[in-house]
Amino acid sequence: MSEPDAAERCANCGATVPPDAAECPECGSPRPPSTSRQAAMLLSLFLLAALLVATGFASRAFHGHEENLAKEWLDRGELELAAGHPQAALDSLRNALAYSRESPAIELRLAQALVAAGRDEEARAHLLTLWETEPGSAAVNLELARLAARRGDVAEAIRYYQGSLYGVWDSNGIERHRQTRQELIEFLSAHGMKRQALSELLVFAASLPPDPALQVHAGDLLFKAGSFDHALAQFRLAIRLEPHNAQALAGAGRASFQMGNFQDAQHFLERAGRGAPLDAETASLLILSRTVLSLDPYALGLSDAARSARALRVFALAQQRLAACTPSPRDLRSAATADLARRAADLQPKVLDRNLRQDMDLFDSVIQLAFETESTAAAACGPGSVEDQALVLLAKYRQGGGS
Amino acid sequence: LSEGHTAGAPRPATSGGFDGLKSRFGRLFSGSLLAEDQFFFFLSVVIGLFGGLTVVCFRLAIDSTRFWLLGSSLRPEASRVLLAPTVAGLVVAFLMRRFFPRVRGSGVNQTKAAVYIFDGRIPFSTVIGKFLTCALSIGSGHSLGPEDPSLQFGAGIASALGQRMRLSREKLRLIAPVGAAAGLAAAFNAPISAVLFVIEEVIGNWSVGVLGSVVVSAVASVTVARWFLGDAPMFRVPAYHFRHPAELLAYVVLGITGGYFSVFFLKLLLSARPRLKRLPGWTQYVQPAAAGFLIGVIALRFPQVLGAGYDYMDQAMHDQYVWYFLLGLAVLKLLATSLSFATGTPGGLFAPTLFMGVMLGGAVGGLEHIVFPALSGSVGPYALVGMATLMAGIIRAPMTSIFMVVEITGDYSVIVPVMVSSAIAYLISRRHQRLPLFDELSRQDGMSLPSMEERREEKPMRVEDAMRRYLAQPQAAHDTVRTVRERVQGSGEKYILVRGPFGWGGFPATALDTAAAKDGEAPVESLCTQRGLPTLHADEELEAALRLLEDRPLLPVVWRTDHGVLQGVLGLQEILQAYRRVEERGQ
Repeated sequence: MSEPDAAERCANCGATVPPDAAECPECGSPRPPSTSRQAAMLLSLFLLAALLVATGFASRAFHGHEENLAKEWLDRGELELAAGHPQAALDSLRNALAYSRESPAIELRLAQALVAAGRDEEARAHLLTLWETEPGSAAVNLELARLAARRGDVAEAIRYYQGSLYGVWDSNGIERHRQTRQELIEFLSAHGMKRQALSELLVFAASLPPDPALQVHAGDLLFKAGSFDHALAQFRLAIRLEPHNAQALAGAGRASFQMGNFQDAQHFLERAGRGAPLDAETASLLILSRTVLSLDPYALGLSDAARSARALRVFALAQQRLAACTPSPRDLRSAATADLARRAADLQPKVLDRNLRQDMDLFDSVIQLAFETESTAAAACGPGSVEDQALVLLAKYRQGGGS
Repeated sequence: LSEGHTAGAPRPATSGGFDGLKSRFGRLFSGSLLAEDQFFFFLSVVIGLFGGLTVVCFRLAIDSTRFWLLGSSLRPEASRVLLAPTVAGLVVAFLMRRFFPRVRGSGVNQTKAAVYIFDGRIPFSTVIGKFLTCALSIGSGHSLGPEDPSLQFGAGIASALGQRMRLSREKLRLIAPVGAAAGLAAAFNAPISAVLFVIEEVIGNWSVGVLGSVVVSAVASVTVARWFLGDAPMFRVPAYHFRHPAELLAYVVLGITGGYFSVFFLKLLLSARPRLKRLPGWTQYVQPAAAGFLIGVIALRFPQVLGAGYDYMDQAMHDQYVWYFLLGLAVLKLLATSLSFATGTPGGLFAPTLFMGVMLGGAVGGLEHIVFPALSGSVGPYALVGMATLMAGIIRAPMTSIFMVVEITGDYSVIVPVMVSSAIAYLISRRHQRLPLFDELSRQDGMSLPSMEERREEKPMRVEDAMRRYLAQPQAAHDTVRTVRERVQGSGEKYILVRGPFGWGGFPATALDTAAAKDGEAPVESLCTQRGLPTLHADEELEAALRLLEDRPLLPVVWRTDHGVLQGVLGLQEILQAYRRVEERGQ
């Protein structure tokens, strides 16, 4: 025990330093490091290691317990949501989030529940927090886009929709991306942004799988966006996949009709009518198509006699229409109708079957006058009979002659 | 085997194996390998690790107590809400009165007392008692936080280790702040703020000797805490973008509101505490329980006031509450915290301060959003800034407040509003409450501890305040004694300064007469009794100058750009006169 004894002496003055003193009582020099310090350090390191192990076990057990609690509360929240108790569900989801603060899934679920409960601002705050950590999450972007759309912030909604389109879904990504794009298209269309909607629609249509229902849906969206040629192509794809698909046939008919292709329109609409009864609007399109085709004086393959007969009928229909339509004297169109009536009266003596067969210029003048008359009458007095509507359509697509 | 040893001879202690290891370990800590300063630095790391682990255990203990007493729901059942803090209050009071009398209060001023009064000594029983009582009080729902006790754990562990390692008194005084930084850093998961707080509030200066140790200790503890508790910031803050300079006006309003709110809280707490303390001794057994019951009554309708309330702060930052509800929560938390703390229930004030700040900030933000929708955005940033505002107003450690918000949220974007609002709240609080909270608490407990805020305000006297013009011009070393004698005659200077290759030197003026009688042509350098005199600069502190003066009659004050040019002189006489002038002005 000579070593400890030596260590108890002050190195400076040699005085004895009491065991519990930090410095020499005589000269105040710091106590020389001794074996007791080594022992204390060894003991400390041992205790540190023991505490580390104990904390590790305790921490693991505690976190496991927290995870279980988070799961329990999440499940309870889902059940309460399903049972239609949104407030209770929100409390449960908040509890779940308190025990699993790093879980984006729980926070997203809470945000969705808040949106469902109409607490948009609160939901948005949660979603923005999530977005900060996961800007590439398609789900978070989509929810933010919907909130912005509800708020009427078009620019922000489009930005988040785009973020969602380029983001990542946890599962079923292709289908969800498609749904998101569809939602974006509907949003753009609803806000009159037809060009952006159309470009998104084209991407949407190009990415569709060979599913007739989806193709018909895309065709419908394209049709609504006013892109009749793309809509027709989409309906044709659906018909190719399922030749008797009534919706596809009707869609193709409507698109053909809008493009002025009444032959195809009649063809598709008749086929559609064979598969399932047509709705009133589509049925009227079929009638109109048939009427157009039956009145068209420029239709291919007509004999001179048939063409002349159609011209006479068209002229007669136009005269009847003009006679039935008399705008009030204050209406600016009254002068136009008067002018048309005068021109018709001038032409009337020449409008004979023989003249029309021999004089193509006269034929064109008669048809031109009839078309002008129908168009002016439609503008002044409304659509008129089916024949009148058919002649207005013919005026639109055949004016200036042609095949 | 080293040369000179035979195979059969005993191995030297350092040659290898367990003995060698033991010997090396012994030398490492006995001073032959590690100097005292290096050992202190190493010990700081060990303290940091201990501090971090203790804080992790403390957090687990609080949460486990909460599960056990209040259940796992954020909205506990009514019976638990009423019973848990009441019964826990009784148990805590019993433990305090019977076993751990020193665990009352937050722990910050106790740590300061350990540094300035008890030579850095904190009884380890205080650490144990604080751990148990705080886990029970905070876990049961008393409106207190875990950060200040964590600071005391760190300091207590550091003190215990320092005593076991038989550190010198000077080192032992420094070791408690090192541990305090470790504890606070782990509690907040914020090492920079912890270092700043210990410097601002406990040590009071940026001493290089202790700064390194404080930093490594804080880093070690935070590393451990993050390992076990995760490295995510304490709060998840919604994104904030500074949109327009006019937005700062809204934060000015928050600063003013926060400043007056802080003053109200401080006045209430500091007036209630001594009154309750003066009540008969037996009431000390029931005071925490009564406070717990009242808090339970509040929590029946507003469970947000229970405990530290971090989850609710998070919810407030996410726009969950309307402005008047947030304002109500801030006021109720003020009452609940005053009740808990004034009755002596152990626990910290950091978390309640943050809670009140979040709620008040959210309320101000929500109201401003209604009145000026274009000026303010989400409530989240206001809640965040409110947190720092109340910290600055109540705790009165402004730098800590600013950095703490940045650190515990991991978001730098709010720094400008935080600075504006905190500065205003700090100034208002200072104007209406002379002493900071922890200093006032110490005085109420009968301890006169140095106020770091007052220290920061002290203006040290400088050399320029005391120096005078040198009446005789400085002489060159090669000038003759006769010449110099003629020059200085009638100047009245009793000490002659000489400038030569040795720098500045000097001799008493009386020596000139004697030397002139002997050899008037001798160089004056030969008379210099002192050579290489230290020089002073006008902006240096007078205290430092005094140390350099020692027994020298005068010291030259020179320009920083040219040490050969004399600006003035300073002697003991001048220093005493300067201090006298200050004293006369003070009277």
